[in-house]
Amino acid sequence: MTGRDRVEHRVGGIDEFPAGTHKVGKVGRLREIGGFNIGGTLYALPNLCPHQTGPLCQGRVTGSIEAAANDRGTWAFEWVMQGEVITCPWHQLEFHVPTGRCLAFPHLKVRSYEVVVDGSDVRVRI
Amino acid sequence: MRSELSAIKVDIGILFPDHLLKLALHQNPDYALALSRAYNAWLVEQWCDPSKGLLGVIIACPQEPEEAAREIEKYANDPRIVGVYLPTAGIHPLWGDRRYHPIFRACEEAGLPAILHSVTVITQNFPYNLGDFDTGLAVHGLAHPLAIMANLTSMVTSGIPVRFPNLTVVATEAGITWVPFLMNRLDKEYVERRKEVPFLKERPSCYLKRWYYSTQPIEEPADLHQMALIIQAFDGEDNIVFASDWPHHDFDHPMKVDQIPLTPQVRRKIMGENALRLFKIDRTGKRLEQ
Repeated sequence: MTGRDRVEHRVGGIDEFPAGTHKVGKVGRLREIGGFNIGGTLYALPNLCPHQTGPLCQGRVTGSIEAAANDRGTWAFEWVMQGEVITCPWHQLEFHVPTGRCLAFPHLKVRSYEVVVDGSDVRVRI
Repeated sequence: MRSELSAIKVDIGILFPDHLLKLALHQNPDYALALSRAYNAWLVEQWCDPSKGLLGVIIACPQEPEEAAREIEKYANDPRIVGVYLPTAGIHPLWGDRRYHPIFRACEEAGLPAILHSVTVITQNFPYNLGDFDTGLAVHGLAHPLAIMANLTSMVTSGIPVRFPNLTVVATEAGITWVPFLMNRLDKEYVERRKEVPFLKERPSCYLKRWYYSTQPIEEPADLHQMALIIQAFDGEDNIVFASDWPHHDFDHPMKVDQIPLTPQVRRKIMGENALRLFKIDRTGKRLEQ
């Protein structure tokens, strides 16, 4: 990072981020941020997919699938991380919102902005 | 379309059909021909606009090659048309078969490139017989590259580039990392089997190197320098053209090709100058005189 001090930007009121929802807003002139309320905790990710610059946070928030070998020669599928996975609408890359980690390529991570709730204001530190 | 292409920084778009990617599968040759004629007329009337950088390619109906040749002649000098699209999904027999010669003859005479473009289909014929796989990852992963490789192999080994020396062929939507494989593999076979293809004056890769390859869906190794090496491996800097395939699900934003470490000169070629030469247009999308 550049080493300059983080600046806080207000992205809305707390009532604009009900639990289980997410929305995209602008911070400054060029930066778009997706704000997520997952079970009462707020997260903020850039609305920019590291794959091909797609609008990451405009995708759906769901869970995803894990699988382990069963003894029938097929797989025991399990639905995991419900409400914590954002899927980029362009090429369907999945990201775990709380950690910013890409499910398909774990070395790919989107930065997670620090979210500050001050009274009824939601602010993001960039 | 124009505003969407501009949003992803594409100046000139070459329009391809969507549903009619599967035209070769149509069982009724008369209907397939009628569809192709209707599509071509609709394309030039409703979609193509060189002043807006929207150009088209007409469909060559494989079920009726002589009639397809008439269509190619009809649009040969239309400023809205810059190529001939060969429906490659499920094509049987493959494009090297002699029944298609009228199409290639007409493309060559019109000075229009013949452009192979496939889509995922599953039939009983090679290389489309992908029914044993149970994931889209497997089927889609193999469908396009196999379709293109099989058809290019068919065309080279049946002597299409010898019979039509001024014909330009373009392979699309299969990425590019398979290109050096096919060139090297066929050249190796040529060592032992030249007498099977005595009409070829040069080894297979020489013909393949004169044809064009569009980037989409560009492969994305973690080390993008490998893509630069692969491009070098088949001397591709003059024969690769950027393609987006917007608005399909597997489209490429130009930034992904732009990220490949290339010299500025090679980048300009791949991102536009090669396409201008291929389609014989200027930077405004105007067709140049033959």
